[in-house]
Amino acid sequence: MNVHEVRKQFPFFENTSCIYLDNAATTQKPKIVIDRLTQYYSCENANLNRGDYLLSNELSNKIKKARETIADFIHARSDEIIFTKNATEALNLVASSLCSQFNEHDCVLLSYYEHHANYLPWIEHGNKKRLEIRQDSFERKIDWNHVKVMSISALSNVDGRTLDCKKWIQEAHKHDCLTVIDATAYIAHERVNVKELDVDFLCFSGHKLYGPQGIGVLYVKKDKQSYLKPLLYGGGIVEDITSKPIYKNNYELFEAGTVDCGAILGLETAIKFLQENFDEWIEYEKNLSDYCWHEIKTKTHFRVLYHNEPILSLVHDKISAYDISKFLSLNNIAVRCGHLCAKPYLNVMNLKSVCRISFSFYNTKQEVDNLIKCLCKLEDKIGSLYEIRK
Amino acid sequence: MKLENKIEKWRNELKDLDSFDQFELLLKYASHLNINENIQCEKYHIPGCKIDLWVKCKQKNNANVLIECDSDSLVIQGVLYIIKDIYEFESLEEIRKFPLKWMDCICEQVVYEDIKKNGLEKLYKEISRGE
Repeated sequence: MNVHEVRKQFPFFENTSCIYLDNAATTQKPKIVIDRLTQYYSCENANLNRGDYLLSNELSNKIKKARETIADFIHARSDEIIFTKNATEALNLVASSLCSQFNEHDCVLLSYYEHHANYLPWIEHGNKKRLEIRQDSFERKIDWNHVKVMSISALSNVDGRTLDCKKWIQEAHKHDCLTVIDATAYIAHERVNVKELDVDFLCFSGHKLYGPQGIGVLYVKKDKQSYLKPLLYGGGIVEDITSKPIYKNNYELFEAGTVDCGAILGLETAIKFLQENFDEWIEYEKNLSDYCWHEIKTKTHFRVLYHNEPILSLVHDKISAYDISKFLSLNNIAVRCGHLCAKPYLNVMNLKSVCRISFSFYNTKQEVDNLIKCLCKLEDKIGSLYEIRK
Repeated sequence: MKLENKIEKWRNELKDLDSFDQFELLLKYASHLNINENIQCEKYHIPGCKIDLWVKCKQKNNANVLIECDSDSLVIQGVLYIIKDIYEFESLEEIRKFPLKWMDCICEQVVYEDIKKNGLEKLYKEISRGE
């Protein structure tokens, strides 16, 4: 793979010298996606499914095709795809629907590794029904007593730790539990097959997959759609209103109001773009992450929390995560520091804050070398400061 | 030196520096901050997403304020050194007259606006609150 050719497809790198290593937060967009948005707003903008004119009909067909492309990417049927604003909205939709149907003392099972997006909705909606919210490391045998739903991240946004989703979904189903997978951090680094996983609900955000911000995807297994209740009520979700509303009985019920058509078409384009070289690209970014991990381990005193997927989180005995990220930022290297919206997981690790480096296939070995140089320089600088303090 | 003059002194020291030099300077002052690790407890804690702060203030005989503060970040320790230099041994009345507005001379690249507006602002409120 020629990474320099790949980078040429991303205008961001022509316009900035920033070493962008915050891909787990959001990815840069290929020109083809940016062009798709421009094309949509320049020539195709209309009201979806409602207009009696050609442009609107054409747009409806394009969105139908986009839904099919997105469904194919995760091996789903197109009528099992619901468009949301992001994964957070998708998880709120699932949590609010399911929790409202459970009874006091029923249990929601989460992992310790959850992002707040797959933690807070369960806490808040669960509390309303006095449900037990149980977290587990998923390393040993699980207590399935009273568990009604298991909702887990396929990949930790903090350190790239993965869970064997297929195994745990099978286990959950044996105990008659519903299953939810937050694939937000996973989707850009591994192939997802919802049929093979046999998962009931799965979601991700488009912007972590080289698509636009503002679009999320919720997969709902066909026979589990009746569990969902709309978060929003409004245009496009009713068959008729006579004495009372007669609601639609498909994905449209969960897409009230005008959806973000530009973002949907942008995400479709991003997925087509990825599909051409996906396996080669994800292998490349894993190799790059391995190289970085090795360099950190051999040349610095930074500790990498876990080494698996292209997400490496660093801590240091003497340097706070904030100071690491600030120093890197001053050297034009973009990383993320803080609790990474996964405070319960950091609490488990007894950490306040980490500095996360996350890779994409457009990152280069040269960028990693620059990162390592900066980390070494920072260690020297802080080391001499501690000498002064002594 | 009067409190406003101390602010002016620090403004002059910081304002013409680029973000790199400000970072270096704050690290330098971090090494001069006297730290009492005993204040790193819940009672004095100001939590944040990116950094942690601790502050303990004392007022002797209803007079001037004594400040002990700490952070897990060295850069922020440098800022705390300056805050301490400006506000310590001043009266509450004086402290309340001069909020952290002067901190706009520290670049966003070095101290996030969010940290100025939340963590450090809360720290200032704690200092200016009195006992």
